[in-house]
Amino acid sequence: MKQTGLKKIELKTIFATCFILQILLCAAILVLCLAENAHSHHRVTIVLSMLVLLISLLILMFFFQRMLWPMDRIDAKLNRICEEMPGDPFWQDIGGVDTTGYVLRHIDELFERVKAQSGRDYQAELLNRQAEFSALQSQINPHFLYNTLDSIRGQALIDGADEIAEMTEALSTFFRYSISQKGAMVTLAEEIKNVENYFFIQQFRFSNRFDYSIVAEDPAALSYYIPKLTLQPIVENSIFHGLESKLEKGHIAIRVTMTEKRLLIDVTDDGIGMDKATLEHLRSCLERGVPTGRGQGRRGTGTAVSNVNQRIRLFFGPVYGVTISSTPLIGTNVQVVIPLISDPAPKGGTHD
Amino acid sequence: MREELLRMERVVCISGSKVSLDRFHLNIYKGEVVVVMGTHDAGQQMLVDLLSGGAQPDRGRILFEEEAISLSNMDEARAAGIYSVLQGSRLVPDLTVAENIFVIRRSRRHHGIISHRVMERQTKRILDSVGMEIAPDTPARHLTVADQHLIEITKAMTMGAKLIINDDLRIPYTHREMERLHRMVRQYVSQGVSFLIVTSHNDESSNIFSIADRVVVIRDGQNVGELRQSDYNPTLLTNLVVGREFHFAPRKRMDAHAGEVLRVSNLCGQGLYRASFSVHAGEIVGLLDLAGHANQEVVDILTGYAGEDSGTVLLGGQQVHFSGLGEAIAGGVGFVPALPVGLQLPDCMSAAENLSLILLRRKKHPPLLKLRKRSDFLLQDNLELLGLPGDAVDCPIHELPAAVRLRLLYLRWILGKCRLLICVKPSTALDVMLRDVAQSMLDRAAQSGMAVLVVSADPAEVASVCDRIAIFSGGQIKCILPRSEFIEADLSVYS
Repeated sequence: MKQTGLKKIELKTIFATCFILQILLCAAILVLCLAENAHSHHRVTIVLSMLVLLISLLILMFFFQRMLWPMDRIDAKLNRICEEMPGDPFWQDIGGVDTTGYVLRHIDELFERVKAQSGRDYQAELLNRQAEFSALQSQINPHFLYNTLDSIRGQALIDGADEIAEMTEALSTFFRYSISQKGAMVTLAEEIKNVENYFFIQQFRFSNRFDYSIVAEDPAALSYYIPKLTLQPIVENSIFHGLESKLEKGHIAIRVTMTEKRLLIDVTDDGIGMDKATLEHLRSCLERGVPTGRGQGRRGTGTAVSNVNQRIRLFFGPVYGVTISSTPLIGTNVQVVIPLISDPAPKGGTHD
Repeated sequence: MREELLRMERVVCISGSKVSLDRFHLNIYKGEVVVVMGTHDAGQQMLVDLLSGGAQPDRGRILFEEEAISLSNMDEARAAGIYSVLQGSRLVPDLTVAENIFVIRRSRRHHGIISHRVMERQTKRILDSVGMEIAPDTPARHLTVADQHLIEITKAMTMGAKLIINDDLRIPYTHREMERLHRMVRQYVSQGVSFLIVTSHNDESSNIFSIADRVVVIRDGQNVGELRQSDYNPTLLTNLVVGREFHFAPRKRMDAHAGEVLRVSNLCGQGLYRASFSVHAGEIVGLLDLAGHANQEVVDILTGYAGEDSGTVLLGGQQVHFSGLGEAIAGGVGFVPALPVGLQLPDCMSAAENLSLILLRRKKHPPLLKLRKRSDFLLQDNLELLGLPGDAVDCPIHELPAAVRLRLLYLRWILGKCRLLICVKPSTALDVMLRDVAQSMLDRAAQSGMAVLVVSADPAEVASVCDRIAIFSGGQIKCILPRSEFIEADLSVYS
């Protein structure tokens, strides 16, 4: 809006001036022609026209010098700032191709980038904290918890209750991993170990009503980094929404595929799946980055996948993230796509 | 680590009012065969169009070798290294194989001089390397469709293809040709080329993983799941494709077969020697030829497309000889060719007209009722059978659901009361739901007292519908088995 206004004023002034001068010229010529001896005024006419043209040119020059050229300089500067700012190029189609159009587009881009950047930093920090805090929730002093669990384990070993010992150990390890201050990125191997631990605990609870398999096509993939607590919430979802209400024995398969630039992790269950409407709702929630509102009764497990998706997108950009596909009564597949990261430091986003 | 050749990210394609691809993602690694499977309208066609430059995505991006590409025509796709060999692909019929491979290409380095000797030597070398025994100077029109496809693929290879796209090529193929295609695909894959095969043919009896490394299931344009060899399970795949637990409708067959309708004795034709068999009313007989086209020749003779060299055809006890399809239809023969929906349902006619095409043309008109009225009545009577909602009666044919169109196609012959119905590959390249429809319509035809002849190159297809199966080998009928024996027979001796 503003941009077209500016353009109009600028052009209007120039054209108005030129137009008035043209009219004056015409009038002068008309007057001279109407005079008796038009022939003798021939030379005067030419001189007059030249004069008017010269004045028009001067006015144009004046405008270029005072308005357009400085505008170009501003534009160049803005462009440089934009390029130095982090963030994706901001594409917006603005009709005008004149200088003011460019300037405005660059200002818009700059604005968007600054906005995106500050929002991204803030949200990444927030979500990261949220992921840790949701694990901490009850705000127990972690060391108190570990120590207590360890004593339970010790007593269980003394009493010969091996199962209790194993379970306590798994629980202790799980908490240690979830609440640890190690930072936002962990290796895939660590994350998978945590998931196995989680499976171990849940298999106890569900008395082996499901089994799991974890396949990494290329074992080298295990040494790459992924955001902490990426897989566990997805597995949790698969168990609670997919397998819990299934009558027969269920299966969860995790498959890791590594490409030159990306890491693809598929979590597939053969549970009860979900119908089209639920799936569509879930997808749109993932897209908009809002909690799904699913599983409200169970401390918001639906939120967790949305959270994972958002964290990945904020860390790595919108082309990465979580996609879900599902067929009722057949099963659900969740695919996590993240870039291949061999060194967590530069992209770690938030620092502890 | 796997190299990604192609990656589609959240691609959305809208054609008309329908979303053909809905946030579809797909990746293909170097040197693998990916099969994209879904029901016939799940959006695979759009996928082929996108990758061969026939359509543009409305949203999302396509990366080829990690670079975003946008293909606006076939040449751009080829320049990137994407070639498609589709059902309709054919060589130029009047040029030789060698010329087809080397001359018909839009090459920049073309000096206008063609050395036939060099070209044929090169062609020979290439064909030898893939084990094809075809002389380079054979005119392309002498080749079978399967051979033409294989040469198209070979040609794509010589032009530096990185990704080759196939759709359901199997329709005109014999069993043995299918195996040759698979061998060739495997060989090229081992050289680092990737194949994208788009299909709706999901056959529980033949493992799709004999050719595929991965199967991506698509439904309503969305990703549904991805299967690998290790998690293959035919029921699971079918359920994923259909979107619910799917079972074929129970077969309704009658056992007692009334009088003989068709008797063929000592029939000889091109590539066909002394074939004798009979079909009773209410019976479905399969003609299976794994390696050749002798069964097709029988069809050609029965429909008047080709003439017999010797032998007799008795239809309803009378010797017949047809010199064209029109005559055959008038004589009481119904004919459903392979992939008939496009061919036999003219768009310019309404559903009612299409349905009454056979019946009303045959009967003499009662004076008081107009043809149009009568065909409308006929349609109203059969709405339920067709599965056609009453408010869709006036829809153009091509907008009706495929299942309805398929039913219409069979129902027309049943209503037309022909004595013999000949179906060519009735369930090949159809998705499971349509196969179910085709099978139940064949049953219905048999129940109505028609004799049904099914021609196929796929053992599973004949085993699923036929009461008796005649097995051809080397142009002759080797044996005629009832279904129960056929299922247990070892077919490898016939191919």
